Amino acid sequence: MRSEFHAFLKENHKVIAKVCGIYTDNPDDFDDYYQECILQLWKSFKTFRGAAKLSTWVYKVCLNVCLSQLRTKKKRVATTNDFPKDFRDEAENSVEEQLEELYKAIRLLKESDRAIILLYLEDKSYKEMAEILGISVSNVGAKVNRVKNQLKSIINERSGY
Amino acid sequence: MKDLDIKKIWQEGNEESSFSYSNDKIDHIIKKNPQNIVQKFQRTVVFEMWFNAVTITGFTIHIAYLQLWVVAALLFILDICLFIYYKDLSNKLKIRYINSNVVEYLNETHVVIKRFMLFYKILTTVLVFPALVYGLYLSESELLDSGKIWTLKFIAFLVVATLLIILVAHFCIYLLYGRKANKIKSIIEMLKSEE
Repeated sequence: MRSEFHAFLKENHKVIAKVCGIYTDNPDDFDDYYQECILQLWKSFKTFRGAAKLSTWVYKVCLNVCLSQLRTKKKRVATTNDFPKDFRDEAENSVEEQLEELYKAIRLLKESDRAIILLYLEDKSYKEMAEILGISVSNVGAKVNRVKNQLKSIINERSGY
Repeated sequence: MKDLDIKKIWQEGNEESSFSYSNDKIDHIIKKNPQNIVQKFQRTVVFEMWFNAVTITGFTIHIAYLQLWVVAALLFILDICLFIYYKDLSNKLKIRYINSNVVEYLNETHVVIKRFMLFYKILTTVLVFPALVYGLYLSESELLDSGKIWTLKFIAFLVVATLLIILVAHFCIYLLYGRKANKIKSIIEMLKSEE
């Protein structure tokens, strides 16, 4: 069972990191959320019998963990490194810098909106998003449009446009 | 910025990220206890259940040894009732469906947090007055000996003190858990709201 779980995690650990990354803004919280996601995945992996698509199931568990774990934001001194150390090395190339900016912008959205934009960016269909979130497909569509526009204006605002 | 740009940055950037994975790290993690709020509640309740069972049973044996049979019998009944109550509460605090969809899971979590808060609100409300009187008894206050405790002024003091303590206790419970429950509720409402 454990080797199966390792194989599964090797395929999906970046998904877990992405979900944790949009809900945390410091390495300590990131580690806590990441560990909790792994633990909950491990616990339910034993009982998971392919009732849902494996990828859908990972998003459900990780979003459930992160949204129910939400902590009060601690006031902290701003650092240049807002990402967990493991998550990237030095932001050398522009893709990484842009990704970092994107994460920062996503973290400015409401918690529920972050889940929606994450699934959108992960190329999930509206049907899958509705299944993961537990809302109607039409509601997903409307929300995606709103959140996308909101994210774009945050990004433009931050980049001075 | 175009839709495609955001998706491209997200997908390419995350693909290139050097987030490390190690089997040892994962093995270490899965040996740990879960840290989420609901599982913390459960551990607290189970600890209290056994702590109460042991201390009340011990006290009951002590009272029985003193041959105060009626008090011992009442304590024994209280012991059993509390144990059953805690057991039931611990079962009700279990969240079984982490694989549920987000709205269902958050609803379930919200119910559990509210249930836990209610339990402590009832507990503090019921225990404050007897604890105050018992505190006075332990402090060997002259008020008890002289019987002055039953003057109207003192009863008023006891009532006000009780209410104040209950208020403070409820506020602390709110600070610890209520805000989280409200936050979860607002996420559920935001997700469910039709646009």
